[in-house]
Amino acid sequence: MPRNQKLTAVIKGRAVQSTTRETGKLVIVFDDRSTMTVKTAEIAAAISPGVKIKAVLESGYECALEFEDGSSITIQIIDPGASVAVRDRNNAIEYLG
Amino acid sequence: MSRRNNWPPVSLGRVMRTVSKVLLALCLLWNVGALAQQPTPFLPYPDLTPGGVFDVTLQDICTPGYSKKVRAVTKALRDQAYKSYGITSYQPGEYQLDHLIPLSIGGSNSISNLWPQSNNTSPWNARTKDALEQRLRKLVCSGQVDLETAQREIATNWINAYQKYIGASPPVAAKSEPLLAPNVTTETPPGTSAPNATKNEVWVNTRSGVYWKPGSQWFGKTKQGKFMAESDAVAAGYRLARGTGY
Repeated sequence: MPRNQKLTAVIKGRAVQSTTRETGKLVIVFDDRSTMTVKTAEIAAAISPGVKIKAVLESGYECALEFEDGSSITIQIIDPGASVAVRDRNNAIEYLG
Repeated sequence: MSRRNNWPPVSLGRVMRTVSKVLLALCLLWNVGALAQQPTPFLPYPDLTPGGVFDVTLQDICTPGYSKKVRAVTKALRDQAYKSYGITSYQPGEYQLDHLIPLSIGGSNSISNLWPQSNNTSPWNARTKDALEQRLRKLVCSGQVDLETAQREIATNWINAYQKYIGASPPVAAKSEPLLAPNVTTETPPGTSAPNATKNEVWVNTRSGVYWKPGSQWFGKTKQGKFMAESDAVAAGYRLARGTGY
């Protein structure tokens, strides 16, 4: 699965503070109070708080988050190109795709 | 013992039928190939490209640099868009992978919002749509047009939107027509100011696609043209006429 260079550059090194699973989406809050929202077709696996993002891989309907501790999760996204949003602590857009 | 006549080994009728089938197959292949290489239509196919938007606010899209941040089309999506329109090969610059609802007014990178738009069709092409996109962003960010309205109108029929927000037809610079040869109907002294012009307006020759500033020779003088703000003329795709002294 190829790396999403643009998204990786945005969130690499950020530590996961908490995750919220809602109907149709996964919300990840990072330690810098930025948030990443992923529209997902299924309930995503749990992410351990404190893990840091190493890279984001994306291919078709699959988006994988790799963490610095070696773990990773794969999320089924609803609409490639329109399922991931990252906003900074001031709610300004950092990434959409 | 009688010898069976085996010559010709295959009857002439059979040969003709085979040749006919081969020719028919070649014709079909040629037609399919020709269709595949047809320029894309002025408008995208609504079933393939209905349009798609991000969940964004007016403040988001009107922030400088917004479009650059959100432009992210993967190669897979790009290939899928071309393939869905039957385009298997193309020359550099022949098409532009267009966001039907432009990123600048909240369009997404979803396949539902992407289509290969020809740069070569006339008068409606990627360049004319770009002018509309610039105009719509300006109108939306200045509060003159509602964001959802702009998104809906450009997704439904961007040519109608162009005619509504810019003008009846795009500037067409005919190849055979020199840009410095406007259609003059009356001979007037060069530099005469046009009576209907307001300050900071230029005269656009809607036929040749160039515009003239006040004081230049053909300002307000060509058969087909209109006054408009220079920024709007540039946004609409008009170019400053050469030889105007500016």
